[in-house]
Amino acid sequence: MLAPELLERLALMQDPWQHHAPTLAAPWRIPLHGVHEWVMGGPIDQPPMHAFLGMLGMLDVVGAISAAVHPHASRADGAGPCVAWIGQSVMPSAVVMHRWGMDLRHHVQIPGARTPAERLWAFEEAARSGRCLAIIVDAGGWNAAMSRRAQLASSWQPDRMPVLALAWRPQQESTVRSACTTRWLVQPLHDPADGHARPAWRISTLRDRRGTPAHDAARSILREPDTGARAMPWAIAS
Amino acid sequence: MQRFLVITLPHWSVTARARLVQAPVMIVVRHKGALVVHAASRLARADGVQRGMPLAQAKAIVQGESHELEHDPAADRRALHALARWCQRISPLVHIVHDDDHAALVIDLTGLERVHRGEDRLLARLRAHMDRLRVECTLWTASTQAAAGAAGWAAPSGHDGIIKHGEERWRTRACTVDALRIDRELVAMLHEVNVRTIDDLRQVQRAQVAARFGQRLLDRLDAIQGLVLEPFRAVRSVPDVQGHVVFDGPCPQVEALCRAVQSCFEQACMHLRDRGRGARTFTVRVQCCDLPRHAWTIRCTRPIQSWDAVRPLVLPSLQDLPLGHGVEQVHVVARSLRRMAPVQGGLQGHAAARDHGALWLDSLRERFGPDAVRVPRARAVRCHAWRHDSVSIETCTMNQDGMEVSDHADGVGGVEVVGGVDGVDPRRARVHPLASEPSCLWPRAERIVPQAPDRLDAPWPVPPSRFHWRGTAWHVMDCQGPQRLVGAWWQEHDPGTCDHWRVHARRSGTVHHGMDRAHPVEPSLGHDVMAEDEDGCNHAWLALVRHDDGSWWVQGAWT
Repeated sequence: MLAPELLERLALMQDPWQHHAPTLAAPWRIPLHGVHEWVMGGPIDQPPMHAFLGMLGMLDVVGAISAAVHPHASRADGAGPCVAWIGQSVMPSAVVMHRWGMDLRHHVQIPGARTPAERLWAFEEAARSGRCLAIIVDAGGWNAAMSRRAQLASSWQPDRMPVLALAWRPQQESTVRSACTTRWLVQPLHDPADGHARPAWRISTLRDRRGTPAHDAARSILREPDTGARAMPWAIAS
Repeated sequence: MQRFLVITLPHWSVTARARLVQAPVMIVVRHKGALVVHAASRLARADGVQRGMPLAQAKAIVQGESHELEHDPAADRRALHALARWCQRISPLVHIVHDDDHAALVIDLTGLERVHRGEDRLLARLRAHMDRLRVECTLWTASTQAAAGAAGWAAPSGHDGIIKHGEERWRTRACTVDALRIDRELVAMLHEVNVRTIDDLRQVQRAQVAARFGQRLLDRLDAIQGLVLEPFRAVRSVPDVQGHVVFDGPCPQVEALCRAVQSCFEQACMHLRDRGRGARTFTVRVQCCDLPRHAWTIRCTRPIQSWDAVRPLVLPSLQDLPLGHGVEQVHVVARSLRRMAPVQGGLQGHAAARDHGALWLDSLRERFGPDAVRVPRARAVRCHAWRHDSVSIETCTMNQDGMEVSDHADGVGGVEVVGGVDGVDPRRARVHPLASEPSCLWPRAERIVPQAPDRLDAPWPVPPSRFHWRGTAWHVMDCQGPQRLVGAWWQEHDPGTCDHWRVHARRSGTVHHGMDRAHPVEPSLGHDVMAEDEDGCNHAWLALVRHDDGSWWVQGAWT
């Protein structure tokens, strides 16, 4: 068993820029680079689309800032920064994205990457294109070496745009060795007090290579916004 | 009022290849193992040679020494294209009509009468040119292409004329039916019923003509009077931007091939920069000495005019290319030219980043296919459940040409798009809940019986194009999806996770063989989801779901 200080130092050696990278706003406060894995717990094994969409809702703020900085960022030809969705299983429909208030011009979906190797190749291409702010990828089937490659491709460098990578893994791979920065567990929360009207999730941190899992989102409950149509099963299609 | 000049070339196969030969020339083609005459020169025709005559018989009746040439449609096409380029001195809009039996050039003379000082002077001057070039043709002008063409086909070579506006029907009444440019079999069928001229054809009832001979014959007949528009695709006058490298001998090295391809692209890009254009499509042709020619197309999201931008798309394709005993020549043609404004390089390198972003999409499409990358769009559509203050949105995809295509259309027709829906901005309007949720959910899903095999080339399941449901055969006209529905696990009755498609289906018939006995027909539920369109056919918007075992179910409908 290695001491926490030694683990932190090893992580710092592998990724020396992580303490200088910008972080996402509260309550997530995760660095805007590197791979962050998400695993669903309980009887459900679907990508946590609500968490992804909520985080990307904040990223649209970043996109707006980038659009202000880059005069051509909001062009219709998709030349501005964008969010890449790799893999059919983690791909929300345009209707849902529209309901979450996202600008669809800044999203690129890649359903053609089917195998783990293809998804990794598409991930590396997206991370190194200099155009993606965030990448949501289906990381099912990735081994430790593949996750390390993804981590290297999305690691923050001072001369290029940081890439936030959200990787979803199925439940049976929740204990697979990985080089990800953080790993999150999303569990469905049954709330009888709410009259089963709204879904809720308990989010907890399984691992954090920065060694500081005490931030606000380390253990919190994410509730579905009570906006009528969003709580309906047909409306939360993902 | 439009005016067209049609140069009819009745014996183009022999004119294109032997117009200067002072001897009988016959173009032969192999038909059922025997050589028959496809076209004959003027001297050969004067001796009695006709089209379709066996070659041995034709040579027997020709006086003197004759020449035979094998039929080459590609050479005829090239020669006709050259003549079209020559005719662009008359008008910039020249259309080529070329099939097995007919060859003609259609020139748009609209607004050029004062330039040529009248059509009669134009015809006289053009006749002199054609005689000097020894091209057998007829020259006719009319307000419609079909009228000028029919008169030209019916007239003998050298007989020109002008059909004034409004005289098309009267001037073409005596023309034979083969002047309508229809199939020979159809001409023979018309002759069997003693219909030999266009006037005879007009005497027959239109319903009988369409029923017995097809709608195309009526369209050709109506085109004479301008009731049916005919296509007009002008020949491009600007030559292609291309690069070409020819090796001294067969070259088996991949490195040399890469270098040659790079040289071709650099030649093409230099021409593109000179024109201020960029190309979105490049066609690469590699000719090997012992293998058929390899040709593939590279499509780019943005116009490209530099080799560095297209290099990652080209070089991977060359690594696996079978070279045989060696490559002889490489040819690169740039197409889909777009105007490119001069780009000023910024300190932050924004232009390079944009190019790289476009290159990223192109790389993905090169590897996974053109449909593997989607850029979602929200657009307003007019749906059956329409409200003024709300808007329904559809999922669509931007393809490489920048056009919007519906997702997973499955070849059953596109989504009906209505632009500018009452001025409602789809990005700001309130989304109607019926846009994604069926208004009528069945208490229990009903299974459908697919009548078409699943598409294996699609990366995801697509609904069957035809299916039986409730004793009725349905034909899918449009489908959108899939849209994944997460199960409502927080509720007591969890429907589970499934994929959902919105299908616009039309009822095409009634099933009588009892395939749906397990699912009895419920007329009361069936009629309230069906609407009647302009054609009187029933159609419905259905919500289809697919279970893990591959079965398809109707979950609900939009009423």
